[in-house]
Amino acid sequence: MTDSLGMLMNGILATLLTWQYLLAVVIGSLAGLLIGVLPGLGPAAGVAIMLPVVVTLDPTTALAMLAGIYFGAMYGGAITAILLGIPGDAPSVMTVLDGHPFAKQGEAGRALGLSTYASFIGGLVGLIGLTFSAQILSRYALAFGPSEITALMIFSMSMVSLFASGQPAKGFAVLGFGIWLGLIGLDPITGGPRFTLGTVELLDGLDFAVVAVGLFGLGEMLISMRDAVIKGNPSTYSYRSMMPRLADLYATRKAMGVGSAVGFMIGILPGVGATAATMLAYAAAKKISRTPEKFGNGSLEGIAAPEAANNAASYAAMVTLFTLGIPASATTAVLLAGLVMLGLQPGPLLFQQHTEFVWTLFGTFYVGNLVLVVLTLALVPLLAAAIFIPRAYLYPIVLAIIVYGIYSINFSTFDLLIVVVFGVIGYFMKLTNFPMVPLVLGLILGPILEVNIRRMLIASRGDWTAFLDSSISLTIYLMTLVLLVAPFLLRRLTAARAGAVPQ
Amino acid sequence: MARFRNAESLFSLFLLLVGTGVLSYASYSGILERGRPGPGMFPFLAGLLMAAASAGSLWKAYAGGEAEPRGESVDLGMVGRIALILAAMIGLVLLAEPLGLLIASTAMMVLIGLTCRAEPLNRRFVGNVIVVSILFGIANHLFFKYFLKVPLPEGLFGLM
Repeated sequence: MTDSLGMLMNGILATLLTWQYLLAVVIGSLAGLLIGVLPGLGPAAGVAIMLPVVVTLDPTTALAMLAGIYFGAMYGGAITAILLGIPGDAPSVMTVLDGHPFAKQGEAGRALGLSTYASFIGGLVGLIGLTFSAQILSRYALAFGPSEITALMIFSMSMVSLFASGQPAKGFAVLGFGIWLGLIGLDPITGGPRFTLGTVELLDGLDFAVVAVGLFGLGEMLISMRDAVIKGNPSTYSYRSMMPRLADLYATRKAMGVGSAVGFMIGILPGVGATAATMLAYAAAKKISRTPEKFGNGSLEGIAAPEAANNAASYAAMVTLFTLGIPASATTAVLLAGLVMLGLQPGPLLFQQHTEFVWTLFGTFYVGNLVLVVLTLALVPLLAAAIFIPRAYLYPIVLAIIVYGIYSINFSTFDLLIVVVFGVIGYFMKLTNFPMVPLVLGLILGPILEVNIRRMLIASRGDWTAFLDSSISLTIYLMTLVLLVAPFLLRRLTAARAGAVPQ
Repeated sequence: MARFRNAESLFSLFLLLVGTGVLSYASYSGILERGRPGPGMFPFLAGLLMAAASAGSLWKAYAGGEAEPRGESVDLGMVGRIALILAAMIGLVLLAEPLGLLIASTAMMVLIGLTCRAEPLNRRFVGNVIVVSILFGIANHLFFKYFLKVPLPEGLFGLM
């Protein structure tokens, strides 16, 4: 444990002393704050749009920038929620309930200040949780061979498909679609083309970044065309009013604590997400509050709890991503694609094979959390004004960045056509509530899973019991089976009990 | 306002058709060869998952209690704007090589800017969109060409 803490301290120092890392954190955080305040562009879209731009950088710098965008968006969402009553992204919906009424009472500065400090505290709790959970889980890394990794991939695909939306059928249909997309290109064993439609461009398969930018970037922009144009007058405030008030921090300490704890625990669950974490944190804070009647009318605790929760949840989502290779949210699914593109396979072995990278990256997260407090407080007026940038100027700029970024990956305009196709698919998936995380997971893990399974079967001369040769993989397969069968059995049991109760 | 009924079921149907197509491809390319997995094994599994789950989703929508399929209201004007954005991007793909990425992307930006407008079309607004597109287009081009050193298509005019 002390070794890891030492490496983390080295990571923090490396971030502070290496200009590339520090610049990546600052640029990523700034971009994230901007994306957080702009309705129509969520953290997943932001990370996806920047993915092709950062793949040319070294892995730590690239991931520090992408993570900065993710965490920055979590901070930024609260600004418009408080000042305008418009959530910048889904997790800041709960902040609107108390943040905006509080701002309308002439206390916008206090609300903004408190939301920033609550985000910092939630982020810090999430980071400490991430550090220790990752440390504990990574100890078992050496026990994971190809058979265990295969079992884990099947488990994670099943889990994400099951929980990513309210309907498991949709999740599994999309997972199958993602796996199939991952199979396009040359067969990894025989070298024959599959599903390439006779084109040369598809022989190398579909690029994760191209698909992710289409689904999350262009798709989200197209879906946001449905929303009305934003009009409104922001609440006024002064810089002095945003300074920390010890009395406010003390009064909301329980709400922040509960919000951070709930956020971390919910955020760690794949497919549940930060929005659910903020809702549960809000409800929990209201329950323990001495003044629950104030909730919904401008309660400080009602601002602190969800803001702490969404930041804790965003760091918690990294736990399963780094230790098991399971993305807990759409944004972490795009980050998973980024890690794979940078030549890193997230999972149990990451901590063994790339120890320095992981701890330096975690170091950038700690520095980023602090940088975000300073940037948020300093840039509130600018960020609040950004929401009024007309789409007529904003969307062409974002699309131009997408065009150049995508072209830079393979120097091919064919990839831009793929972005358009997946933009349309992403638009329909959003419109019809089909989850995107299983698609990304299938696309990334599908080809790896295929190679693992086929190689193992060739080596074992077609003996399928080779997959059950260790107690770990056997346990994981049993867990997968329970995961798949339990909801069905529970439903049958509930229906049988309901039928047994006399009317 | 037009009304597009049951978009969910349409997307499920799309996945069902793709899944069935993948299944039929897999059956021709060898699922198992002498007891070992062939090139068609994974496409078979993916197609089966896609077809079975999307059929389940369709079944649930029609027979599993959702007696009234949910309809999604779609503004035809919005559909037109989305189509124009996509057309502008496809136009860029076609024109990037002959005209160069700078000219093609600037033209795309102007078209998308005019498409996304919230105000009536007037000379001032059009002028602003053109100026923003040209300035950002050049800055973006220079950033990728000289900072990231990406070899960008220059086109017939050989601009930058």
